[in-house]
Amino acid sequence: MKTKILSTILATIALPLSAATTITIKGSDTMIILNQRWAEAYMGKNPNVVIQVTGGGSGTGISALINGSTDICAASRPMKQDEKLKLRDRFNTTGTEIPAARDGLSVYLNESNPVKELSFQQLEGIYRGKITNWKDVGGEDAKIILYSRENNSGTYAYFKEVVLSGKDYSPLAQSLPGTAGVVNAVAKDKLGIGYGGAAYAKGIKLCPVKKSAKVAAYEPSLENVKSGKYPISRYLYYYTRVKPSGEIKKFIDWVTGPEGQAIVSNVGYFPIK
Amino acid sequence: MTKQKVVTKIGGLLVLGLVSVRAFGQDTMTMEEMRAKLEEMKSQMDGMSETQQTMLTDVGNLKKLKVSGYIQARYEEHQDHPVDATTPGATADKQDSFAIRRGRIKFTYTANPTSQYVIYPDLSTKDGVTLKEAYVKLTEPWTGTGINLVFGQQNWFFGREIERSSSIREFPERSRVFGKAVFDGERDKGARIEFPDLITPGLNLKAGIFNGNGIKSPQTFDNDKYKHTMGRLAYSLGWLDLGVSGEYARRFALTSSGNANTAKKHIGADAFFYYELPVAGGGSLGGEWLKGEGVQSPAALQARNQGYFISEVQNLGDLFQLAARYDVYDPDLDVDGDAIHTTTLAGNYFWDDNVRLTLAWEHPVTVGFNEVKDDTKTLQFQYKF
Repeated sequence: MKTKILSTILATIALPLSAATTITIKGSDTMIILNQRWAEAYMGKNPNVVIQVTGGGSGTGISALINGSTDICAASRPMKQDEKLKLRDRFNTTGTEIPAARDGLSVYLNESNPVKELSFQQLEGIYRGKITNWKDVGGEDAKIILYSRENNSGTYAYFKEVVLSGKDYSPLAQSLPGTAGVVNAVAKDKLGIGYGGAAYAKGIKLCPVKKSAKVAAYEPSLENVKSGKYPISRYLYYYTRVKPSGEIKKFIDWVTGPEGQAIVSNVGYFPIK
Repeated sequence: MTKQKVVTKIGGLLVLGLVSVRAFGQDTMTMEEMRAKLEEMKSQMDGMSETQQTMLTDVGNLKKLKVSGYIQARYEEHQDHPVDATTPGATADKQDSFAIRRGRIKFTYTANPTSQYVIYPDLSTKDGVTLKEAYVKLTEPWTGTGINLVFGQQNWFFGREIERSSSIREFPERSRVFGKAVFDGERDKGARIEFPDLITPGLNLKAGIFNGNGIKSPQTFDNDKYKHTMGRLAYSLGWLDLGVSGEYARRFALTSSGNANTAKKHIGADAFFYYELPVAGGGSLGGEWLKGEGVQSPAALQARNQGYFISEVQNLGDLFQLAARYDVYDPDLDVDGDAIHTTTLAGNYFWDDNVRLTLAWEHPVTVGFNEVKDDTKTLQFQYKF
């Protein structure tokens, strides 16, 4: 009987020790496929680790990091100053930023669209609602249909900051809840234009982009993103509240190492080095 | 019924049945019918699309309104504390009570990036609903830095503690000098201008002009012709925050010897250092200091005063936090031994994303006067959304 009781106590103590470690990742919809591939590959190699991945947008992920409901926030834009201050109010840290991949933020056009390239000035005009007809940028005489992301999206914020110089989107832009939704809409709408991660580009064409009318336009290819020729490239980040340690550190080290970065290329994004 | 009629009827039914089976069993829909069906489905899809657009517009409008708030429900145990400040002389050796210290709800409506509406009532006071804040905030779109003009009833901005929300503070109450004496009520009616990221990122300048009465004063309008001015320059490096503040207010006061003009004027400085300990997590060490004349109320009390506090906060993992603060307030620098030294210790436990439990002990000591045993022990449950 004594042996039984002892065994039960030991089993109770040992149970949490042998239980799997759970890491939660929340945030960027742009990064969701990448996060899922990383999680699948890492869990395959480390059966004692469970990685839960959810999207919702970079803003949602950062909020989750601030209120303590995720271990890692995935963000397709850097944290803003007011977000860092909110994190500091609760945890007395401003978080740790880890670049995990690079993305060429792409401009999507329908495959039948004859437009060959777009400049920042033209893109700003289109998304601000100043240019409303494709013929003004080298296309057919037809109305431009704008597809955009919701304002909790890091892609929305990054495109606004870099391409629209921080100005507001046209009220006619239709907000869609994920990059996949934007790609789907542009693929079906021959007058549509959208933007998002390069990895999602299926059934649409990626429009070459140039920073000004005087320079050449480039596609978001590995070479162009790496060399800096493609003008809308950005880092995709992981954020943690404090410097990563334990299983979280092991996972992030793996993500930024050769195996994790090989997955980055397979998914359609670009390695950080 | 004749046999012939029965046979005819059965035959008719069979023919009908065969036709029906044929119609059911194969795609007999004509091109015209298919077109009509497709048109019908397209109309339905268009209708759904229109409904979705309307819903998206409605949801977009709803997202412009942000509602937030918090409740602080407490159990407090006081040592030799007045039962009620409004009942003179009523004291008890020990008083313990349940209380709702704060019950607030904040409505923020942001229709576009250049303007914002804020109204912020407190529903927990014994006077019923009181207005904590109500203002219009304009953000200019031209410079790209977002200079703000805030007009209405709003926070003062002297130092760091005054502006910091009670819902995120590590201690149940502010320090004696900043929260209770010099800036009682922490808010006033007026206007301020904010220059975020002035010259360099992290450098912020604020300047404001207020009535000077605070929000605990019964007046709707200013009771004198004088105004209260305030300024603050702060710089944040992320791991280190530095700031200097100043205020000046001439005031009309009723004194025992008649009417008089008094002044409330202070300068102050604050510094907070943030660090990270392995395993434990983030922490901060810092303090604030001020020196000047006058208190918020009564306006007639014209004495030179000084105060400061030093605080240390340490997070222990994601769920626990320990905090200690030592604050000193000398209400009259010309009188010796009247300074109040207060030590506050607090522990916070974050139950979930919304709930925080706080256990705190506040121990004030007045050196040189008849020492009053007025320690306060607080157990607080806060729900914030």
